[in-house]
Amino acid sequence: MIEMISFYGVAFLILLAMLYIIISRDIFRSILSMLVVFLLTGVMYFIMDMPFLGVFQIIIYTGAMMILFVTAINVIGRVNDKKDKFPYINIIAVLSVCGFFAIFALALCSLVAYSPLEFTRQIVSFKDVAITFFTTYSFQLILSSLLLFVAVVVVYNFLRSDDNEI
Amino acid sequence: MKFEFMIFSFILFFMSMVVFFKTTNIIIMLMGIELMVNALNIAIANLVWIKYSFFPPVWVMIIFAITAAEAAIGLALIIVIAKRMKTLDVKKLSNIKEIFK
Repeated sequence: MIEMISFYGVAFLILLAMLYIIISRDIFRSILSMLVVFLLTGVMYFIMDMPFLGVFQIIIYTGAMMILFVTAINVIGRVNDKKDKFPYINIIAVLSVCGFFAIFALALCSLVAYSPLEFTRQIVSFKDVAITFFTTYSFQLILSSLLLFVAVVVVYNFLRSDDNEI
Repeated sequence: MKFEFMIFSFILFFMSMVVFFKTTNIIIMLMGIELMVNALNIAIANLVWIKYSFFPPVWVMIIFAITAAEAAIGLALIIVIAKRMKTLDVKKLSNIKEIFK
């Protein structure tokens, strides 16, 4: 029951953020909405009993990819055709951040208070994860590392050649 | 309950397609692609969860890595294009050959 309620709540919030991405004309606000979508997708993995995927989602998508997008926009400059005027956006942003932290703290407290043993059992031991990665899934680990390395080399070459020519 | 996850991922995928097709801005198009892959990840994770798939969850992490690499390369391309053409509008980038000449 709790799983279902949390699923519908998170799904509703994700759809709202997606609608805002479709409606918004400002790139920066669209990217912030995308951050919300990625963060809540991580929460959805937690609902699916896949906490490790949720943590990866939050680290890779919400952390790394958002930094990439924001950096790219800062390098290019904010290219907005029309800036939409949304009143009280700062107050809403502060309230939503506070609300998010309150919900997160409440969820954490309730997990620790009501089921301390289960909660500690759910925390994945990093030693186990490392053993699994470097034994069972070593091929996948090497493949993804190679992919990321190739991407870094390609990006470096793109940007370096561009600097030389301009 | 698991069926709802699949429907939700389909809805998310089609909304991402709307994001991709409604705009002419390259960055928002790349965002649409990322959101599509995100929806795909939810579907794959759901298949793993209900054990209809032979995909171990670690493959979802590989898709994470692929998406991160794709976003990095795409954004580097966008930076190069934006610096040379001074625009992010796809309609104005029809002569892409001349950009990289």
